[in-house]
Amino acid sequence: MTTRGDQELIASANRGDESACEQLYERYRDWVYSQALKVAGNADDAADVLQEVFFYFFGKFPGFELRCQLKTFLYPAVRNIAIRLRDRRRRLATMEEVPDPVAPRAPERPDLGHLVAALPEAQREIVLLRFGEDLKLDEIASRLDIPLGTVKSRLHKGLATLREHLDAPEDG
Amino acid sequence: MTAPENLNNGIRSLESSLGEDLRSELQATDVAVPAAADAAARAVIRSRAAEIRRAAGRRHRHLWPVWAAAAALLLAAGTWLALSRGKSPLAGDIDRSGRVDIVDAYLLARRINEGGKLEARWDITGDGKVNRGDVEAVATRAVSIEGR
Repeated sequence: MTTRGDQELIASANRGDESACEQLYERYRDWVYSQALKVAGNADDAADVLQEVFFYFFGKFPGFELRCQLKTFLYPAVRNIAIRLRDRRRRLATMEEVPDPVAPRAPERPDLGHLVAALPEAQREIVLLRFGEDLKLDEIASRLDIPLGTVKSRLHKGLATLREHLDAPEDG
Repeated sequence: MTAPENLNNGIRSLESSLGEDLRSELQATDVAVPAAADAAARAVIRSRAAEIRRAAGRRHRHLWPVWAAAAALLLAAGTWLALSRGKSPLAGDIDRSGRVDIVDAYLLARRINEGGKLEARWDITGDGKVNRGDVEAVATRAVSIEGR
């Protein structure tokens, strides 16, 4: 039996093929759960993120068109949902503590993952493949079927944007 | 230094300052999803798949109004054409009776003789003029289709 590609599964999922939906889920669930666990920090929230991400993803069907790697599409959703749940948990935790209004807040480090999620899709795709999957530049070019020069240019733009945001002085 | 060399150097420099943090941020060893979370997610997916099927079905059903509108448009166009033909009678049907007969030839001849206003549609021969030649053409047509 041949493995069906993401595009083929998506075409079937667009017709409501439950088996195609499940195959897409099985292909990416561990990655989604692991990324969620990393951001949210606990298994309960990661499980909620898993459900919400796939609910969001399959909410795009029918009529969904994949124009990039599926991980590139899912990554911002995973991060944003995980951060929302993490922040909600933190707010609930602080409500149970006696707040100290004059205690200085430690400056928060810029969140690199958040900045990656905010990159334009074409740049985010390259950054995820390069640093998330440790691919070489020619491997990325081959995977995405684009010229090596395009990979380099997108990677450079993406990294320069990240550097710029990380170096920018924080407001307030 | 050439542009490609600049690009390569730029990437090297940015990767050396960001690469480690990015790898640490983006690489996560895949953790198997706990059974309970997996079951809950699968339930969500089954439910969504059913909704997608319904929505996909609705999409097809939603095409019916489009087809119906197209059919109505075709029907209207056909009716309009038929009516237009009714308003603009057969070539040579001077009195708009719906048929070309010898009366048409007579009426056209009389109009020409009287020097009355001539209509472009009476140019049966297609020579850009309405004259005796057209009367003869109408007469010929009247004879050939007389009684139809």
